[in-house]
Amino acid sequence: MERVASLDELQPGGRKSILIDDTPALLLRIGDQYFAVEDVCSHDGQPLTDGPVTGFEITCPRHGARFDVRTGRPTRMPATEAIPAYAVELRGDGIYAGPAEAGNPGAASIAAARSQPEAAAAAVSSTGVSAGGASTGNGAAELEDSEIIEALRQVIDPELMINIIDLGLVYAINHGEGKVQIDMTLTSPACPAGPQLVQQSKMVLERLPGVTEAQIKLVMSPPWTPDRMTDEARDQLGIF
Amino acid sequence: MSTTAAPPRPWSAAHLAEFFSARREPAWLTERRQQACASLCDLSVLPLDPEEYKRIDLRAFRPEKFNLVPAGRASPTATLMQHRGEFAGRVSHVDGYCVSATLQPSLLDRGVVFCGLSEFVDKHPERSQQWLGRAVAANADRFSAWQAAFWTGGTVLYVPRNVDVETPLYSLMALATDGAADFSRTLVILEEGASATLLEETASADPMAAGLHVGAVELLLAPRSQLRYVQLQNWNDKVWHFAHQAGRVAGDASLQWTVGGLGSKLAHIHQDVHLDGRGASAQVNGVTFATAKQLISYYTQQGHHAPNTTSDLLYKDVVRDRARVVWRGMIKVDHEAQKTDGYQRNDALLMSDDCRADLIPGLEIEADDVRCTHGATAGRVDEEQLFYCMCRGLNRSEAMHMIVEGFFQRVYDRIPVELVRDTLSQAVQQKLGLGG
Repeated sequence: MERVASLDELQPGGRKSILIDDTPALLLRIGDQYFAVEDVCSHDGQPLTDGPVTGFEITCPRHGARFDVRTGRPTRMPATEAIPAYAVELRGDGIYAGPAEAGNPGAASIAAARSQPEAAAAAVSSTGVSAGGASTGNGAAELEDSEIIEALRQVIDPELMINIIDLGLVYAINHGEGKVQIDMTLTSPACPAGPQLVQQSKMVLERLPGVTEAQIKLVMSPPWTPDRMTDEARDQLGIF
Repeated sequence: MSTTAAPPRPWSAAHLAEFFSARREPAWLTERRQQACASLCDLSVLPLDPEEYKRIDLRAFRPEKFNLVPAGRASPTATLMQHRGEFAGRVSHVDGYCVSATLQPSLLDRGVVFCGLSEFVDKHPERSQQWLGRAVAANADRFSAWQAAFWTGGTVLYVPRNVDVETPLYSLMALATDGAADFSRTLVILEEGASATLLEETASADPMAAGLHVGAVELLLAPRSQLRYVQLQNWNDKVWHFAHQAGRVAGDASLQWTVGGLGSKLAHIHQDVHLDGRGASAQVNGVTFATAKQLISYYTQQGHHAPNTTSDLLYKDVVRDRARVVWRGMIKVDHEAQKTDGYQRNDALLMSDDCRADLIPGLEIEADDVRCTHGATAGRVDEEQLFYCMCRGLNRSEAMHMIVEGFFQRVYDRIPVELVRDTLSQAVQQKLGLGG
């Protein structure tokens, strides 16, 4: 482990670019907890350094990929590969970071004994798995439209940088017995991002617990117009 | 990507003054160094050209860790090429200083010069003033300025008019001291109708010694001359390597340039070929093998400045582990360069899930009667090919080796010097972890 910062260097919400084993990494303080991840987005190979942090997630400033800083796992497209998360320790003379232990991968753990981030991280992943396993029988009944909509918000139009829900590209959602079918359109019939949006929509839906198959149907009628965007999307594009 | 590179504190103006007083060089050279140093200061506060450096992660680069060392002390250990062939002459550098230079007397008599750069400046001041810096501008970017201000040595080959040097010449640049900064450069001058073959190798004497190489290569070909130049970069994996390399090819001259990129922690090479005269041609070959956490990057430009010129670039990259290869290529055809034939191609073979290759070919054509083609491919080792080889009794790593060897074969086939083919093939075997 290498000393990477002093104890009072970072305020809550602060960050510092560091080197761990000659690899650029980012040290983050969230509340009283410290995390370190490799400072490279696994999608485009460029730095995450200035990416905004919400909760325990850092967002890549270029294409909107997100990573859980506790584990390095990707939580949003276009990233699909994890980034290395490092172990962080508070010692008497400073903050130390180094490669995560083999038996304890991703638990880039932290502050003092008072916090329990590992337990939290473990709980998140295990509920995810067990919910998926247990709910396959009646999962379709439990699946809410809102979950599907939330999932589809992760699919972002790479040119406009706005998700397909807020753009108003999704026309209809049908689901039942583990199958989801959505009707969606594109901003223009020749949209070059079309195949990517369809593929990503399918991926995020099939990742939902209880969903075994997702079908994406492209429809061009009625044609999309900018009126279909939400107000938030308009604001983002500067249309008033 | 990152902008913090040079000049760090040990490389200040005071350092430069001390450096000059120790070197006792002619006034024109001192003046050039001062200009380069001024450019260095200006360029260091400007961001690097994102087009060229965007994919090069320099955040872990700490130039202050490296320093010039006093004139060469050690002689390097065995290298890949050194003792393998008969050479008409050898020049060796350690830590940026020339430690030995030999040349066959028969070539000396015919006016060939093959020696260290400092010696060349001493003995041939006019020629060096005329030729040095002709192909690589000191103010191209901060690395070229850094090199032009602080170069300590280098290899010079001068071949007079119509002299044909048949046997290859050999140049070695080695790093021996931990933390050494090596600023050696290469200058090759072929007069009209001359021809020569120069093999150059870079190597580390100690596999654990960290180092920095900021280099420059200038190849100046007069009309109807022919040069075959091979550079095999084989540092250990703790060396940072930056170089500006350029060839200027006059009418009806031909340049065959082969680069092998095997070593270094991070290597970035800016390689330009300029075809300046009618009928000039250049063939550029590259073999790159990056493993572990290496990053090897090339920024190549083929500049066609005259009609009826030909350029042909073929790179083959193998990437493994978490390594990265970056290549940005450009064929640039000037308005007057009609009947140009330009080709560029880069193929990458990805051997692991975490490696990465960014290959970006490019064309910029202002003439309207040209033939220019380019392409890039990236792919994995075909499991079926592996299976086929294993059915024939090879184990998996032997099969892998055979496929990698086959992948490089198209470049090997273009290299006319058997020694170079063998050396590259052996180096590849060593990196694959098989015998050698």
